[in-house]
Amino acid sequence: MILKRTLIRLLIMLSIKNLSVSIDGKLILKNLNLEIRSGEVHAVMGPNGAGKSTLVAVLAGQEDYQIDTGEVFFNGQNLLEMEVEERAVAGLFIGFQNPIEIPGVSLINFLKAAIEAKSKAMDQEPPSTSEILSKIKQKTDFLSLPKDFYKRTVNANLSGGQKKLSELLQLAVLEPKLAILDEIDSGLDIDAVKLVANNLNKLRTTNNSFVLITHYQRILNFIKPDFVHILKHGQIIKSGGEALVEEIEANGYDQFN
Amino acid sequence: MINLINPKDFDVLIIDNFPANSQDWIELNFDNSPLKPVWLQSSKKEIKVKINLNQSIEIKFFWFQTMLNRQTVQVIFNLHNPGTKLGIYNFYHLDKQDTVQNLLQINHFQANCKSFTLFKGVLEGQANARFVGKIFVDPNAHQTNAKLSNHTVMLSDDAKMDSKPELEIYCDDVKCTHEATIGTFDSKQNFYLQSRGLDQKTRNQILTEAFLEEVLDMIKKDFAVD
Ligand SMILES: Nc1ncnc2c1ncn2[C@@H]1O[C@H](COP(=O)(O)OP(=O)(O)O)[C@@H](O)[C@H]1O
Ligand SMILES: [Mg+2]
Repeated sequence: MILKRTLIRLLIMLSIKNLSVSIDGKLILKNLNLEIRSGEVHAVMGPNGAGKSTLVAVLAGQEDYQIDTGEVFFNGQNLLEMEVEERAVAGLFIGFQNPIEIPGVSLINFLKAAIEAKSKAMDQEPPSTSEILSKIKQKTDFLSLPKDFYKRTVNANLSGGQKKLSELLQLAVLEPKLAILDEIDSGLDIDAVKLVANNLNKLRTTNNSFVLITHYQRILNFIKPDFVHILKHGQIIKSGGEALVEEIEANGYDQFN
Repeated sequence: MINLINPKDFDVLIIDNFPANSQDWIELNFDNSPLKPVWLQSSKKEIKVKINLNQSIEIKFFWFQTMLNRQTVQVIFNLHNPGTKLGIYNFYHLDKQDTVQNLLQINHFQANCKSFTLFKGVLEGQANARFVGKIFVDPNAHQTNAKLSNHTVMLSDDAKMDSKPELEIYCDDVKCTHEATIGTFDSKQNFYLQSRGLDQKTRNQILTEAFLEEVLDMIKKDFAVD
């Protein structure tokens, strides 16, 4: 019994304890608790303005957010004390609600730099340019993206759906331990949602974890989350299994308080 | 950095090979529209060039400054014929004690000419850059359309930029604008790169290359004055 508990503790990927966050003196996240283990898929659902993107921004390490209380551990490391780039090379991937456009930078050069940064952080020799290229091509195929997708610029001149696919390619190539995806389903038509969801299913392993942050249940028809949390007014007011998704679909967020 | 520029996209012109007159001015005369933009190259510390556009031609010039200890470039463009279209593009990436001056004068002597000038650059270390760009519009140069821009990104508090766009206009029915900005890279772009694990040095390098790409893209576009 003791052994089993130790094992479970070791497998905790992300642990958020009593996290309270404010912006400009306004309290946004209130005493948030969340624990994610290896191999799990969590859905965090909530209405607009609930604080979902604020949570993402704090985990990503964006400035301008005041941490009032609480702590966050990522694989045993104190996440809130790490630099933004340290979080990434440690295996945290953030999929942004609005991926930033960087005209003049190609996805391939961007990914090459990101792979090299990861190797450097792990004190490893970076892969050669041709190894990087073949990995990117392989992932492009794996995700059923157009063959030359990696030649496009980082999100500039891409449609909303293509931007999400660009982030998925980054995710597939960088192979993070934990991916937190903020509304990866927003602005997509149903076929695109299916494509994104199927690709996420393909990327799931027992060693990585996903947090899908979403307003709508739609994408969760195609990816089955292990846990569902409802975030409202900056608090997780209810956690449960897949069945919660159906409750939200049937009666919306108003039923939860 | 310079590897991003494909020489095949340009007519490379090494101006050090041209004879200079007694005041050290090199005179270049152009009577035809070249197929490609002209890439002016020089390794000299002092360069004085007079460029005469003798027919109603369309022509673009580009030069690039990096790893230069010290360079002063003085260029006078003379638009001698109505309907001439001129593009002037430059990129500078200066570091350490690099000191560079670009002193331009664009003389619109005739009507219906266009000139588009774009200078962009990134300064690091204790680099020191100066840009003076003057558009002169003669009383005869009706319907002149001229734009001059200079945008600098400063990556160090010790770098210095002095930017002076100037207009000297003696004709009423013209459209002349200038703009100069000095700033940093976009913080959202920087954050996005950072969130994928890129350290500051790599981020600056990637964003500097993107800044250069913007100039190269503009060269490919038609004379984008408006
Ligand atoms: N940069 C900001 N400055 C001030 N208020 C903000 C900022 N970002 C978000 N907020 C506020 O925080 C609350 C939560 O927003 P957000 O985290 O974006 O919610 P969600 O992603 O769930 O829609 C909202 O009331 C929003 O107005
Ligand atoms: Mg949001």
